[in-house]
Amino acid sequence: MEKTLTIINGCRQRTHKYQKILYERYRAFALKTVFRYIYNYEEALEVSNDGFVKFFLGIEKFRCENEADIEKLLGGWIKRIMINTSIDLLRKKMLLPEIGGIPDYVWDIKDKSASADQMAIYKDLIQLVKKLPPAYRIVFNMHVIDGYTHIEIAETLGIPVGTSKSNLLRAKALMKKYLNQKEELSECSI
Amino acid sequence: MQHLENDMDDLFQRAAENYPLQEGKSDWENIAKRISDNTNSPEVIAPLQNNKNKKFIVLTLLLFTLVAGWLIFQNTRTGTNNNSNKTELVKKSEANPNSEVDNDNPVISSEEHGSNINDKNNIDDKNKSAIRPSYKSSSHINSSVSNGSFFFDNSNTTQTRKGVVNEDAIEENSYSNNYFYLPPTGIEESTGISEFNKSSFENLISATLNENPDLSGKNKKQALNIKQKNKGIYIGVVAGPDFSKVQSGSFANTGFDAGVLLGFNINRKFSFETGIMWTKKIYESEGKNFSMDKVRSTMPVGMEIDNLTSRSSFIEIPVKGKYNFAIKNKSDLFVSGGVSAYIMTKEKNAYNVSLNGNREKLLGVYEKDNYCMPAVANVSIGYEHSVSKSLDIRIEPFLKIPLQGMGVGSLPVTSAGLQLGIISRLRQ
Repeated sequence: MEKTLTIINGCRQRTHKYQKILYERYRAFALKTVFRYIYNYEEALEVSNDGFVKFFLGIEKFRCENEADIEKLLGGWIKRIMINTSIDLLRKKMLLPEIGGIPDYVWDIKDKSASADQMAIYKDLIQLVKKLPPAYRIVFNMHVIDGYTHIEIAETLGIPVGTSKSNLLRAKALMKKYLNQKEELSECSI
Repeated sequence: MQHLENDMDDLFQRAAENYPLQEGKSDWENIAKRISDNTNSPEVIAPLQNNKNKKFIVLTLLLFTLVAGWLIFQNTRTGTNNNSNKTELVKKSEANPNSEVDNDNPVISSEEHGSNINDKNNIDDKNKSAIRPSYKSSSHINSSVSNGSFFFDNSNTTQTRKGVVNEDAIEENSYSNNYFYLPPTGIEESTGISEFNKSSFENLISATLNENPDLSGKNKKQALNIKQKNKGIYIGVVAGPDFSKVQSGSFANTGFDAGVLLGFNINRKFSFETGIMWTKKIYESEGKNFSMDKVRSTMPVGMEIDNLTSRSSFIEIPVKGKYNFAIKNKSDLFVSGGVSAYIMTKEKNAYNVSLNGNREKLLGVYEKDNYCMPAVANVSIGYEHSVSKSLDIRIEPFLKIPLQGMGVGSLPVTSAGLQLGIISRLRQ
């Protein structure tokens, strides 16, 4: 298996072999990141591809002092590019929410093992995030899941820091409500 | 799911990492192609579009040149016909043995002057007209006569006339010949005819037109042409290339403008013009000149604009004054100055930006009308040539200096260019 540093150096030299290795390694991660913002599978595929093109064209700017952190930094950088590309698309769509549920074919649950149950829970949680209003959903994703600070969110979205905070509070309140509703439903079904 | 409420953040983070989403098929071929395309042609498609613009401009200029050339050719041919008519008329005059100068005429009396003077050219008493010999240029005028008299040395008729100019008397007389020519500019000085000024000449034209119904159509038109240029409304169509830059940039990109103008001549020298122009400008700018105030909310924050290329369409409404500083019979040189208001109809900005350490390209299209009033100050110098009774062609190099920033980035756009126009005088 190629070392990450070798792959990055190969990508810097525009070697398609290394670019492909890196793409294959990170495409699932990139797609999952984008899907949480877009909630449309086909568009998420397009956006993640756009993100990879940006990534490969700008890889000369990627700097890593400590080789031990290279995986973490690279993952963070790819995630940031994917989030920014997703937000660009949402901005073009004026933050209009994706209507309708998420089709089953986008999920990848293959067996009935214990891990499959866990996967189903995760899937339900991601579907709950989709129920949030678009403005709340973005802030929730950025702060709770991706670890952005309110200042970073405000800068990225071009909104006041206070709006980011209040959106997050409302998003969390709504999420608790959804979770409680879901719990009640689960108890009833038992 | 009770524990979810206690550690919601951690749970959602794990869910985001592990949720079961189909990976889908690898689309590496598509990505590799896009990377190659972007690497081979890193800049926007600007050069291609610029070539299209250049072709359009060249074709328009070619069309304009053809039209102008045709009009000038037509006019030259008319002029040649006039000369033929003149020669014919002179010959007729020479052939008339009975024609004599009216000696009662106090203005221009015929008398012998050297061997060339004879009685072959006389004035028809019945028409009570005075002879005003024709000439093409001041080279035909013998100005070496003393005592305030002057000679018209008509080479066609090999005759010389001596006369004393009396302005009032000129107005009382009409010409026996069915043609006349205006004196070339500067004739007054070269011949010492100080009292023979332009206004009196115009009166002369009026009197001639009124008193001599036999005046030939073409010459009548020429006389009317002089009068029509003095006052009245005119309209025109203008078009030409436009080169724009922002601050210290270069005029590298070619735009285009075209429109109609409406003008009013206050007198022969001063006029006012307005109009409506469609203007396409292409300009490049450094990011530091671009103000983010109007677009901050639509841009990812943290993004820095390195540079941009803008293709903007405006509707321009100019208001300007025009001063003819050199007036010839058929042509004028003028200067003009004024201001223009801009209504931006479409702005397309191709940004080269830095975002999260990456160099990226963004395209912004803004179609909301953006008013700038006044946006630029106009200065120009131009040349106008009459090609017919009511038609002029105009060539006008211009410079537009920004008074305020244009477009979403409030860029101070300076423009220079050349306008070619066809002007039609409507009425007095």
